[in-house]
Amino acid sequence: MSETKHLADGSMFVTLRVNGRSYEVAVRPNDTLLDVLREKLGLTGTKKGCDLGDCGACTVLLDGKPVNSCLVLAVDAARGEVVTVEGLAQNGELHPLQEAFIKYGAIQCGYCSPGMLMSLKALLDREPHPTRDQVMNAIAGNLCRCGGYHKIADAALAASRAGERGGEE
Amino acid sequence: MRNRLPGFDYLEPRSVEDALAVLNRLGPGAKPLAGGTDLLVAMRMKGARPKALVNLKTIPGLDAIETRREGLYIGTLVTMQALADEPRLTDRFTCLSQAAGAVGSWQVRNRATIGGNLCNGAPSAETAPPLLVLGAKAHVAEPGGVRRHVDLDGFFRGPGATECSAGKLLLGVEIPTPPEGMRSIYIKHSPRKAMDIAVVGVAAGLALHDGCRVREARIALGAVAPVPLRAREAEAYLVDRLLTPEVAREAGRLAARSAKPISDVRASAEYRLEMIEVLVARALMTLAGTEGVFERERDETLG
Repeated sequence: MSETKHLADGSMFVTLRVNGRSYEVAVRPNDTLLDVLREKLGLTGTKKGCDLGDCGACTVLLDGKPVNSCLVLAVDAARGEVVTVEGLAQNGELHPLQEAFIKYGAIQCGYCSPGMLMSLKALLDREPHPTRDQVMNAIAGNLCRCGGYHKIADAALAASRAGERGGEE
Repeated sequence: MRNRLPGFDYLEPRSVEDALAVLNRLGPGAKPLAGGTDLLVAMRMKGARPKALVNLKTIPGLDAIETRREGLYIGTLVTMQALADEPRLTDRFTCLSQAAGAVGSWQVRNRATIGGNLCNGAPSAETAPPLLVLGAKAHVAEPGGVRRHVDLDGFFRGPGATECSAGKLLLGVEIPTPPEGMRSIYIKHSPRKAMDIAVVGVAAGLALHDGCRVREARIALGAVAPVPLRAREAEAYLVDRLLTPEVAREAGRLAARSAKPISDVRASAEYRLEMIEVLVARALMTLAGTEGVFERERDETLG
């Protein structure tokens, strides 16, 4: 049994790998990955909506798979590789999905956009040329309260057609 | 930070015996943590206050799908998405693949595990009706190296209660290969296509003699009784009958007699009973490959 090394306040040091960087960070067992990303690492692109796994605003990739970071304990994420919306742009260039979101007006209030982008990034990594149904299914766990789903799907499909970069790293 | 999770001790066992030892030492206040998609929500919303969480994901080997002589063995930490994506499930274990793919959202399916789905004991547990139809056995670990194989039919005790209660661990489920020629299906009835639990869940398995006479039928229902259950009366009725729309509908009526649904925010008991009839018949006719015939009858019936 590993009881891990607890500090006086019950927190412990874990190493989180986020967007290719390693962070040594003190977390308490009841800290979620979402809270640690936002409050301790300053990565506020990932949004907090419901904090219950319903809205998808906090979607990040954990080992390439979209998850609700509000339902992942930070200590649990220490075993994996996390990618947040801040990790999408490479060398100062937006990801094709981000370009398409701008071009197609797929952003209204913007609160769901980081989560949408992460679900869609995971989709295009897995299925470079998805159907519209596959797109809608991929974002079924991402709530857009502006109701902008059609333009979001348009943007995703455009990104999949545009650069093959949409599907490859 | 708004809505912080209540505090708890956190443990990372390295073996099943480690986990059992700590769960039994700490008592019912200690909970195993698998995917966390139900447990963390219960802690935020439903007042669950576990004293300690014992993270099963630090135990190696609980997340594998293995082909064994008798069929498949699915480790307790296999996720819903892994089940939905698993090619070995698609043909012979179709109903389980379909049910796993119907859970929550992609994000939830990537975390939620088969062990959590079963051990939470929800009457609507998506994987339960398929596993009942497939005749699965739960592999349960108890302290002192004791391992029991429990028919899933006897696994569920009531809402939130299973054979895997405090101090035990579900290691996985063993699913025998279905009889030659048996096909299966899961139908989730829900007002939404995602992010909701079933109002009624129906799993069915069907093997025919000669394209239309029933050799074996298995039917299981979710969300319509305190536990997921087999509809044995309907199954027995079907054997050796020609599977006509009328026979399928009668099987649906008999299946509804096995159920004891409640009325809640999602549906009334009466509606659930009616839907069992419709969905069992639809499942059987779909498996028999005569959906078209039945659809016409259904449209007339429902006007």
